[in-house]
Amino acid sequence: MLRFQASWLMETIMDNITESSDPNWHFPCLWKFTALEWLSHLNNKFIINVPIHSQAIIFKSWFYNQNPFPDSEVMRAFNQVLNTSIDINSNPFKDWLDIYFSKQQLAYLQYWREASGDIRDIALKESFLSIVYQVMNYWIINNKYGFENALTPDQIFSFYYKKYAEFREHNAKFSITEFDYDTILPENCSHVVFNLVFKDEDFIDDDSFFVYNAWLGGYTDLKESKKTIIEKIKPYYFEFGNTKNFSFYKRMTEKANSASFCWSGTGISLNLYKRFLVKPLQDVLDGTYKHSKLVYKPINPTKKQYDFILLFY
Amino acid sequence: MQISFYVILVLILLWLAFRYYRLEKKIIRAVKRNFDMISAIASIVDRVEGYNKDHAKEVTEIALKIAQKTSMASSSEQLLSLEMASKLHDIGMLMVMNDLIKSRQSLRGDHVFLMKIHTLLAENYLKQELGLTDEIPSIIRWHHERWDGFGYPDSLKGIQIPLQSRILAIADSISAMRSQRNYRRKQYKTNEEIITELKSQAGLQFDPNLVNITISLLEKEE
Ligand SMILES: [Fe+2]
Ligand SMILES: [Fe+2]
Repeated sequence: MLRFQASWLMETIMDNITESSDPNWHFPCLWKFTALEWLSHLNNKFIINVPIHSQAIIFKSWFYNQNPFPDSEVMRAFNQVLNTSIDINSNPFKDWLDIYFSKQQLAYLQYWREASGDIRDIALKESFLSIVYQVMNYWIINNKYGFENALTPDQIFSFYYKKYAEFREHNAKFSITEFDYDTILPENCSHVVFNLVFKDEDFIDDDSFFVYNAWLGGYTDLKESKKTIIEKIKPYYFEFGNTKNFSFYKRMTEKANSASFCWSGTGISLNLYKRFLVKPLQDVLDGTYKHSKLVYKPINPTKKQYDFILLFY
Repeated sequence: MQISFYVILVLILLWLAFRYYRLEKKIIRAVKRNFDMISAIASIVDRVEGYNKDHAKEVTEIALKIAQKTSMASSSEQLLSLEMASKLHDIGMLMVMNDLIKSRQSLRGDHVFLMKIHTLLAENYLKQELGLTDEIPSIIRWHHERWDGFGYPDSLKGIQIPLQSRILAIADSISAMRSQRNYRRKQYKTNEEIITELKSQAGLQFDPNLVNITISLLEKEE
């Protein structure tokens, strides 16, 4: 799932299916919360399963939690001025010094983690953590490219607070679940959407994903962090010539009026996708749906990169 | 006998070369006409958007300069796609309500959503004309994406956004910073001010790597 193009999926569905008046959607596996931004403007219901806990927190904070945000407690936690002479040796995240963060940034990360423990209201705590995630993203990137941070923590905070307010102006109703691959249940829905992940696809394209996951767990070993994340995602991997997921697709589509498979091609020819992905899926869902339609669009045709949607209805 | 054969051969070759030369000239003229036509349409879009200058032309120039310093510099095909996409990047605006674009108030709620559709309208209409193998519509679709994942229409993050769209985004913003438009309060006059703004948006709105490239280009201009 390199790219998910929600409005394109909508168009594809609307071109082929007469939409029910009150459509509802089921996403059995998603982990990039911004992917929902476009859909959030629709007057629809969504059940989103986020198998990675550290990301599920962020999904909940942006799309689900009903809370006034931020409250004074959260604001205060972000507006602290920390003493830079704080002893780095007692900082649990000191391994990241000069790799991802400066001394002062690490002091903030230590302080914020402790402060988050003091926030009793779960929803508020999740909002707080999701803002920390954005600040971490910003720091990691800027450190990587050698930029001095133009914004202070509280400035980034207020920037993302504005974004947050925009995101929360949505019409859609979301529920966020955290099922594992084996325990997730099919939902009665208009559309079930599978964002395909490939084993060799570098599906998580920046370190902040792992760093944040480790920070939340209170440790610095990124190999460990990556391992815990991959364990959750691995069962969803689509492997050519392997039918291991097919019973999952069959089960997940049981109560869905339509099913969509979305993926980003990685330089493999169109015909191979048709033979080893489209055809097998058509065979397995043959008894469930009458029609199927494949659409694609070029991303970088010189490198044979295309994005795909395979719709069943 | 042999000499006349060679004379005839040379004459035939000369004639072919002449025909080729004329054909090429014709093609070049036709291609140039198409390019000019696209530029003309682009400048209509500029006026509709409220620009007092050839915004699309400026965006194209900046985008190509940046692209020359990236991995796509060697691909003439990709450069051409970027050039076309830069010229037509806001063509979808023609289909969004005129008064909305000219509105003096800052945009809110549903209006913001409507504005966002200009990326999709452009992609859809161009796709119908250009067919399934042309990347220009996709480049245009993502010219308002942000590096941090808070752009539109798809909220793609980082390298999920194709390089050409990332370049177009930065070029578009620089041109916008250099112009005075109704709803844009601040105007950045000097390259120095633009550099400061680019730095502050590195890792947020823009690809930090491209910001570095762009800054060194702007510094050379000084
Ligand atoms: Fe635009
Ligand atoms: Fe523009």
